[in-house]
Order: sequence, then structure tokens, then C-alpha cells
Amino acid sequence: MTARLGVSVHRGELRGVLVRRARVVWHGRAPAASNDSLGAALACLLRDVPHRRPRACVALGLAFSQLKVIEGLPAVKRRAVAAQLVRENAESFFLRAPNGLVVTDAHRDADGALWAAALDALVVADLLAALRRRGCSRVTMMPYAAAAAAAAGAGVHELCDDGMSVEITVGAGGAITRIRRLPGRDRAECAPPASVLAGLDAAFEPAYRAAVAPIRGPFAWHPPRAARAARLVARAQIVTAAALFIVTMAAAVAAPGVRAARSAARLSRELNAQRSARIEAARVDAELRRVTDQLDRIARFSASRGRVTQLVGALAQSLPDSTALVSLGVDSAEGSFTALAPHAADILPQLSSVESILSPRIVGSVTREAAGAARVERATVRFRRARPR
Amino acid sequence: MIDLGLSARDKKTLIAGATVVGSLFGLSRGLPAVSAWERGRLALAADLASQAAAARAGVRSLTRLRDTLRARQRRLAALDSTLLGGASSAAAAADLASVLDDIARASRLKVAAMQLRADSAPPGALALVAVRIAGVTDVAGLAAFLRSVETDDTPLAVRELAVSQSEPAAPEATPEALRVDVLVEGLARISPEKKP
Repeated sequence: MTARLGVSVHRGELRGVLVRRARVVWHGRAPAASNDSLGAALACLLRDVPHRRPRACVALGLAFSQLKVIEGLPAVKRRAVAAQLVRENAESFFLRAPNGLVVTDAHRDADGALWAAALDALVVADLLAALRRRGCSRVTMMPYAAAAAAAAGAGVHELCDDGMSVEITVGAGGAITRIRRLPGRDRAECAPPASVLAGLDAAFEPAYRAAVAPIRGPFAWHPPRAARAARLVARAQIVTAAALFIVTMAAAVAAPGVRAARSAARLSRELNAQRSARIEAARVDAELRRVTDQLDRIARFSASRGRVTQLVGALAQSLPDSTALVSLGVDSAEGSFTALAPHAADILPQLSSVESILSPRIVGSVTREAAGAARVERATVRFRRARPR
Repeated sequence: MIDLGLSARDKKTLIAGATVVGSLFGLSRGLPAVSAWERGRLALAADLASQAAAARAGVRSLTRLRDTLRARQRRLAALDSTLLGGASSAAAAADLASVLDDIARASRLKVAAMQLRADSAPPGALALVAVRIAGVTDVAGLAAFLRSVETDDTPLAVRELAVSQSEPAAPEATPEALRVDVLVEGLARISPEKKP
């Protein structure tokens, strides 16, 4: 909670307390020669306040404020309209003051009765000027009775000030339900709450109650902003809205890029953290490829074994009876042999059954020879080798 | 301060014009720059995301890769013991010639000539080496030689074969004499040379 300055205004004197965290940290009083010098007295009082610009709450004593039930108003539902009616006809509802009245917002209690408070306009203007000169822009003014009711709690309470006494009845919700002037009582009969004001003069009790009163409570009056201040505020609002618009547009334009940049930074960190694991994975992968390649090569070589031997075996099986090979040559793609057979032409049909022999053909001439007592034919056969599957 | 003699309306017009010109200048220069920067960031993020996904997959499969590698290394080590070996391709070819000489002797193949072929290969690599054998034997000897070569534990393969019979019609009492020319290939591991 920020420090709050509570000021109570009485005939011939102003009293002030500075409250921080519900504790009185400063108190002072300033005499006023007349009601016209209350502003000057407040300026003197403010000089001693140990805070530069406290939030100020001023409770105007019973001599400068009136609080009452407003009767005789037409039936108006809206409280703001009713308040405006009261404000424009203040002298019809309140005792006249020589310098006019400042009327607070109206308040409707649980029974539907309309309440309003009026403050002495001259006193209010003097005090407000003094406070603004000091730099206090956050000012609240209220009748002492309203400030006391907010702090007092439910029940019937007596308030004494400037030789006047009133009795207020506060309801369960903290709102005043009844107020009555008590003629012939003085303030000595009223006792302040001892727990808070221990060691402090009971005369500061109204100032303390003003300091701790709710700022937005009923009957609180807030001075309108000065015209220049209002213009400044309006301009500041426009500038703020424009700045927010520009910032929002810039954020909308740059958001995908910023998001991508953040994502890239996160991924970079992740990649850096996994660097050693990635190097190890790459090394293992490369070694696996090398080993697999060598295993494949050995397997391919093993699969190619035996083809020439199987070809020779198949050739021996397929040649007709009484056929002799004079020569045989086999390389990786082709082969040829020279054979002696009773009928050379019988060789080719037999070779067609051999899978590893393709396109067998007799090359050159077939010659007839005598082999001992037999007549045989000499022929050279050439063929292509089938490719392995 | 220099008094320009501007009326309040002129000042407002001047401020509004300057604001519009400044805004247009800022937008025309700033938007393309922001757009280019954004494209760069998006491309970088996409590239890093794919890299990170690949890295995560790699790290996840590292244990499985290690297991596979160990199993295949064991298989390769087992096969390596059957391969020809030597500090160079020429040495491996000599090893092959030695093996073939043993097989030929066991198969009663009289070797007349051996020709070694070897391509150079780096240490640790597998290399093909070959030996061409020319000799004389009979049919049984040739069959035994071929069978021994093709079924030997050492991976050898007959790539070319040339057989000729000088007297195909010779009497059966005459010993058979086949002139044989065989090209045998083998797979060799070139081991790194040991430094003294």
C-alpha cells in the first residue's frame, strides 16, 4: 500500500496524518486564522509531510460538509440522473453556503433512499489549489461522517466535531442508514479507536479515518482534471494507442521470423549437445558400410565359384555317345570345343539342353576323318555362356 | 531559435507530411528487409530442423547400429581367416600360387608354368589375385584339380579353362595326356605391412 495523507478540516485548524501500512508515520496540525485561510494552512501543513506526492484524502468536518437523505426527488431509476438533479438543485436539498456547494455522487441505500453529500465549495477550491501546488494530483474529498462510517463498522456511532455532534447508524454492509444531529453534546464525549491511535492525540482521529477510508466509497468526491491536464491525458492516450498499434503491427510482421530464429537457436543448441553422439553415429555408420561392402564382395565371389566346372560337367553329360573332345576352351563370356563324332550335327541339339550354354553353333567346316577303323566327323562348336542370375 | 513564420495549420500539414513520407520510406525499406530476414530465419530453421531430426534418428539407432556392426565384424573376421593374405597384391598372388601348387600336386597335375596376376590394392582392402597354370594331366587329374579348387575352404574360382588333347584317337593303352591351361582367381586380404 502506498502512503496516504489524511487531512481533516476543522474550524480554525487542519490536522494531518501520513499513514503507511495502516500505521501513522507522521502527524501534524496547522492553525487557520479563518475559513478563508484554510488553503494557506494546508500549504503550511504539507511542507512538513515527509512524502513528495502522497495520495491525499481530505475529510471535511461537520462544519464544512452536509450528509443527508435526499427527499422530494421525482422517481428516477438511474442514480446518475438523480445525482445530476441533486447537483443542479443543490440549494434546494442542502443548507446554503455563501460560496456555493460541491455535491458528491448520490448513493442509494438498501431501503431505496437516496443519499448525497455537499461540501463547501470555497473550502474545497482552496484546499485543492494547495494540494495541486504541492503536486498532489490524486485527491479525494469526503464528509467526515462518510469517512468515519467506513471505518466504524455496523452499529450506532457518535461523531463530535467543531462543537457539533451527530449520531450515525451504519448498516451491515458498511453504509450509513441513518444520521441525526445531537444538540448539546461536545466532542470530548467521543473516543477514538485506541489500538490505532495509541500515543496520538484523539484530535487526529478524523484525519486518520480520512486516510484509511475507501477512495471509491460512497460520497467520495474526486476533483475534475484541469483542462490542460485533460488535453495532455487525451494526447497521451492517442500517442499510447498509436504506439501500441505500431508495436502490434511490427510484432505481427516479425513474429514468424522471431519464432523461426528462436527455433533455430534451440535446434542449434540441441545439435551442439548431440555433436559427439552424431560423430559416433557417423563413424559407426561408415564402418558398417565398409564391413557390409566387404561381406557382399565375398558373398558375390563365393556365388561365382564352380561355374566353369559345372559347365564342363554339363557338357560331358550332354554330348552324344562316341564323341571325343579334341580341345575345349572356356572363358568368362564364351567357349568353344572341337569334337570328333560319328555325326557332328547331332551335337548341337544335345547342347540345347544345357542351361549355361547359349547359341551353340558349328564354326568352320566339318571334315571327315578316319579314326582307326571308324569314320568320324571333326567339327568346332562355339557358344556363349549364360550370365549368372 | 529560427522563426519560420509557420501558422499552426502549416505546422500540422508539415508534421503530417513528414510523418507520411517517413512512414512510406520506412515501409519501403523496412518491409523488404524484414521479409528477407524472415525468409532467412525460416530457411535456417527448416534446415536445422531436418538436421536435428536426422541427428535424433541417428542417435536413437546408434545402439542397433553398434550391434549390427559387431555381428558383421565377427562374420567378416571368420571369413577373413579363409582368405588369401599378404602384405601386397603380389604377395597374395604368390600365396595363391602356393595353394594351387599344392592342389596340383595332389591332383597329379604336372605344372609346366605359372603366371601370377595381381592388381595393386591399399592395405586392409580386398583384392582379386589370379594365377594362370599350364600343365599336363589326364581326365581324372583335371577333374580332381577342378573339384579341389572350387570346393577349397579358401575362396578360389576357375575363370578360364582350356584343354587340348593331342591324340584323341590314341589307343586306350596309351597314357592320356591333356594339356591344360587354367586361370584361377582368389580373393585376398591385403594386410598392412608391419614396420620393423
